[in-house]
Amino acid sequence: MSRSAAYFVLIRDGKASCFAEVWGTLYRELVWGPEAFEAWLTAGEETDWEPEDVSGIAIVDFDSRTLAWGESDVVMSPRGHLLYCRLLENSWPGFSLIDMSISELYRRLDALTDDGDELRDRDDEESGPWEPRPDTVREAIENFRGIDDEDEDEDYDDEDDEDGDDDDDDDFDPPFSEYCKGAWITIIDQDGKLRQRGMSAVSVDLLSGDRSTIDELIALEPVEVPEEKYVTEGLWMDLGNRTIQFWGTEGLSVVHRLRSGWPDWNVALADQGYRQQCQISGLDGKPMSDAEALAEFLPHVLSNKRMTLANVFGAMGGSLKKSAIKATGCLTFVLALPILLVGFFMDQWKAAGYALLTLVIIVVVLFKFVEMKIKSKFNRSGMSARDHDLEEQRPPVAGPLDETTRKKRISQMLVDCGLPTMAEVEPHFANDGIYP
Amino acid sequence: MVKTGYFVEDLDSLPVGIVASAMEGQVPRSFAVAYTLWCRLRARIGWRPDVLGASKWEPNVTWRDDSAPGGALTLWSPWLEQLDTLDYEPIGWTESPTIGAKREANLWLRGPDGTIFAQLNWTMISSIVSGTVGFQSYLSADRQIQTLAIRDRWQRDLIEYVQPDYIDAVAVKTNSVHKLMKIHHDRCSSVEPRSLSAEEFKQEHSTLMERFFRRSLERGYLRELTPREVRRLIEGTT
Repeated sequence: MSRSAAYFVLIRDGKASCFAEVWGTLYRELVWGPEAFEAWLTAGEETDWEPEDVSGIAIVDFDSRTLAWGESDVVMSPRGHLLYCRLLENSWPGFSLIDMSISELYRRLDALTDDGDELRDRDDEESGPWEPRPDTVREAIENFRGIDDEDEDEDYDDEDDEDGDDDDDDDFDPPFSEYCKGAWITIIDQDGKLRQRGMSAVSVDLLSGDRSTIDELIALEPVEVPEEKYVTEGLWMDLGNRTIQFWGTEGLSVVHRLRSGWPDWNVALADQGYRQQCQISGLDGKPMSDAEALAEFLPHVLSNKRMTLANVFGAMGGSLKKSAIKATGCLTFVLALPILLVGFFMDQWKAAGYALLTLVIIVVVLFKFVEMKIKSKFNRSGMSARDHDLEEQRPPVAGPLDETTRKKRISQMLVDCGLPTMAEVEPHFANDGIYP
Repeated sequence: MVKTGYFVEDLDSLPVGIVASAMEGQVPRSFAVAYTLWCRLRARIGWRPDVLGASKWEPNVTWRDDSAPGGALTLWSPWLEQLDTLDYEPIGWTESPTIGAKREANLWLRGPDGTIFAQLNWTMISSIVSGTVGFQSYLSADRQIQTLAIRDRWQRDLIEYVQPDYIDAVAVKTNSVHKLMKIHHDRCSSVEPRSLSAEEFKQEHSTLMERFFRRSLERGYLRELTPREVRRLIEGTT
């Protein structure tokens, strides 16, 4: 299993120092400001070690007061990203913050270190964003629906479905849902008619100005106006006015690509994002509140635990345990129902009570026994010890180490940025989220 | 019993299997069956689960041509786009007079030759939104053919269970209006649907809805809320 690592470069008086953190997440460590970030990094040793898989890069130049950073695999909507950037601006006063694509960061690393070359060579297919975009509209649609044409025919062969047992073949997620997030495309034709479409991401052929993509998009099945939380980026094309507007976490860099691909079109960044696209479409949509967007990333920012394999498995185990408790509760209820019915109809409440008590004791004992078995098997596997060698003298996280102070500091940041308070955000924290 | 005029679907009148299968996506079937039986037991002793919302029965439907609720338009937009390519034109929409956390609206569109009408439904209970698209045609002798796009199996079973003999309804699992249209067209090919103007359709629809409502009431598929239930729903929303 390759160990993903975040890579950091600090530049002071023209001298660059490099650091790496296995399983590190940049956004959790950066939000506490430059002093806390530097103190955390320099508490550990510099690295000459090459990470197997770079999850993010941050270059902090204290001379020019610039922070350039970029990170992959971050579960954050464009709105969440926007709010995170506001927090970052607040905690890095006087710094220019640059949100960069991987290729741009590698180019900067090139200039600073020898490792940049090696890192880039390992990932030379990446030419733009962190996640490679689909090459064609067709590929973007296939990625989005998760089915190929054959499956599609099967799923939509209605006449066959009329009396068949067909609920079991719902093996794909509906577009714009929890496990099927994507790009929302709106096309306004010459007559002003609107067409709503969905795809996994705006594809390379569309970005590079391939005119046939418009017909391909028009020919697709329409989609419902998606909820904001399921949209990763949005784009609308007004064919009559020859305008394109885009919004998303890679905002400006995508707009630049669109401008060079569609030179005779008016291409702009839609700074109001989802709400603006709803407005253009004349529909309400379902925008996210600021509290919902903050709840996407704050639980991890508040966490004070080091990201290690053991912690990740521990958190997953906790989540699994919650599900197991719920399932056992349901099972107990089902088993208890006949006892309750007998007690009710035969007026045998005392006997039913004893039977219920016995049932609960048996279920609890069995549950604990199974839990103990699983835990001991996990400990024997050695996974919990595997990452100990990576825990050097650097504290587990940047910023305050105790949870109460972290929460207090973040609460203050929210107030300073005019964002919802922690009390308003907390109810939106995912119950089953895995936050080590 | 005091008449309130508000009605709600009475799940106790339906087979346990259909009600339980409605919960299957969320909980195991055995639990769904047990819960359904538990609810029926509660209803027997007069301890019914709380109703979230109910509709008032009004024989005279108010047809509207202003803008439908935003949430409904959001849900309907892909269907409207496809119906537009088939030259369907809106003839009006209605909103059910509801109380509690329920809202419901329906939009009807007339096909080019007036033999087929499309119905778009939007139902919102609390924050849960659902909707259907369907086609309907009127035959002579007060008969109607309906073809509805419904993905959930339990809803298809429900339609089959409650449909009266004068409505020939088929629920199809699809997202595509074009495919649904084709199926409806094929079903109509062996019969002769009547061509109706928008006004004639509204009249026919109103008559059929009243007939359907009376039958549902007789069969026990609907029950009238008690004044206490109505009061609780109104208090909960004001």
